[in-house]
Amino acid sequence: MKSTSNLAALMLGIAAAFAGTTIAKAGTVDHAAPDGPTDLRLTPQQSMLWKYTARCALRADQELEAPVGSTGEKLKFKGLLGLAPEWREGQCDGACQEKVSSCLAALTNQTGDHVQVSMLSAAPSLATMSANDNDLAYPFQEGAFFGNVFSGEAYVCRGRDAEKGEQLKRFCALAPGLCSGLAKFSGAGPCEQSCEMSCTPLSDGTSRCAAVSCRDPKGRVWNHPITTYMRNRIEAGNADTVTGAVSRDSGLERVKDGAQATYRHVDFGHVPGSIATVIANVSAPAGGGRIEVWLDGQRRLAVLAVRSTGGVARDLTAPLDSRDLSGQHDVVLRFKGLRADVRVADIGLR
Amino acid sequence: MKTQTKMVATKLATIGLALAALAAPARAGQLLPNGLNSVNGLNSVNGLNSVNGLSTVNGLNSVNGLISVNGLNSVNGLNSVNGLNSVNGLSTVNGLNSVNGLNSVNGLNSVNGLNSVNGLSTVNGLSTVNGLNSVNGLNAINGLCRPNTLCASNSVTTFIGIWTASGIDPSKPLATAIATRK
Repeated sequence: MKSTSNLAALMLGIAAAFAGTTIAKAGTVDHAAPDGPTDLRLTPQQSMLWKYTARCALRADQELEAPVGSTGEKLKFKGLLGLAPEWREGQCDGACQEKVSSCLAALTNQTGDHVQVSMLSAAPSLATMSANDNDLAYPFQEGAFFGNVFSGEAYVCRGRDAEKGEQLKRFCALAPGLCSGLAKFSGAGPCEQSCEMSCTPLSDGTSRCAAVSCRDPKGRVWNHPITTYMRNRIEAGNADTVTGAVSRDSGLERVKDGAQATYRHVDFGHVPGSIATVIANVSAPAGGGRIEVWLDGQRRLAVLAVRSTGGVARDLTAPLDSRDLSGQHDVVLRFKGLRADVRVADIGLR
Repeated sequence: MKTQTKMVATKLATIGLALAALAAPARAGQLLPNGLNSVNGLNSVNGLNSVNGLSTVNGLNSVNGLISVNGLNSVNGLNSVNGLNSVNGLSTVNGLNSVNGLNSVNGLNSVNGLNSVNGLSTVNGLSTVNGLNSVNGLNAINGLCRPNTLCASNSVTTFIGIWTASGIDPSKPLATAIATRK
């Protein structure tokens, strides 16, 4: 089950509510639009809480509608995952609260960046979240989230690929304390030790392992955990620094000739030279020019020729020279000779 | 031990700092600069036990084995700190490259340009962090408020208050709660 995480925006909002200040940082604050409009009756932060609660609890055919606000705008919050659809018209019991809590915690992201994740569960109560071949593009196990945020508790165990979160800007499994906001986030140790795991084989020979149940540091058992897997693609819009382009949740937009984007902590794996290809999902109305991939801004690793994609998104690939390279490095994309503005949705190394 | 004390004292003397500290000779293996105003151009400090009332440190390259720092106002251009146990009342840190093995930081107001932190257990009362590149092994940050992250206290009642303020109540249907939202 795929979703996009950026609940830090929600937590940002909470900060604003408490501090009485305005939060303004491009690309990190989700103003609950377009599928969660704001209203004077609800602060943007509270709207976001409603938006994500509805998204987790309700089915796609359900929604919530608030009274018309002073602007005449109708507030609607659409469902998506359907983990507790009964809450729309009834109470949310303990199991309901834990399922929604796991979802909200899994969608929390300290940076506020939008990151696509796959949300899986092997818990009997969350059977709709089992792995299948739609998860092939999500190979990295981040961790499992559980707790009850309505009573202030959130836990995350550390998955085997949690360190990949750095290049994707997902940090809650790496540093749980940074994600407190909805509730107090606490680490529960490695998932293999704190959770009972169940693995599902996929058609490519890999498997996805999700938690059946987990123990918090006090030894209490939680029966509705959600395990997240991450893509092997970096959201282009989450660049650490950008010049000559606009960072959006959808990617790097209006990329002009001469633009540059830096991505920190890009993981080249444990074995030197194991990365052979760079992939960029690009929309280009006209061909011409190139995207150069530089290591730490000092060594050119690859050159992607920009061909016309007719304005639709397509993967461009090129060989990448990763001799002697392993571990995390800063990668810089340099756009040269472009004839028209392009859009880059994501980039990947394999 | 005697030799070591002499060596440290000599370094301090060369940068014109010793004054009060040298007037009252330190015991072997200990140097306790209290009420020191500023340190400039010092390259390294090893085996220093505590610093109290120091106002600013500029250009210090590394600090090893320092146990505690209290009342320090600002640190600029410090490259690395290893084995420091606790820092209290430090106001700002600029350009610090890495911190290893620091156990706790209390009352620090802002950190700018810090590249990495390893093994830090807890941070309390930190107001802003800019340009931090990576944090590993950090257990908890309490009271951190910065533009692109959360700002919430460590209090459970505060977390519950978030839900109360939003109108989302597990004991009430969502449809009812949103419709009666005021």
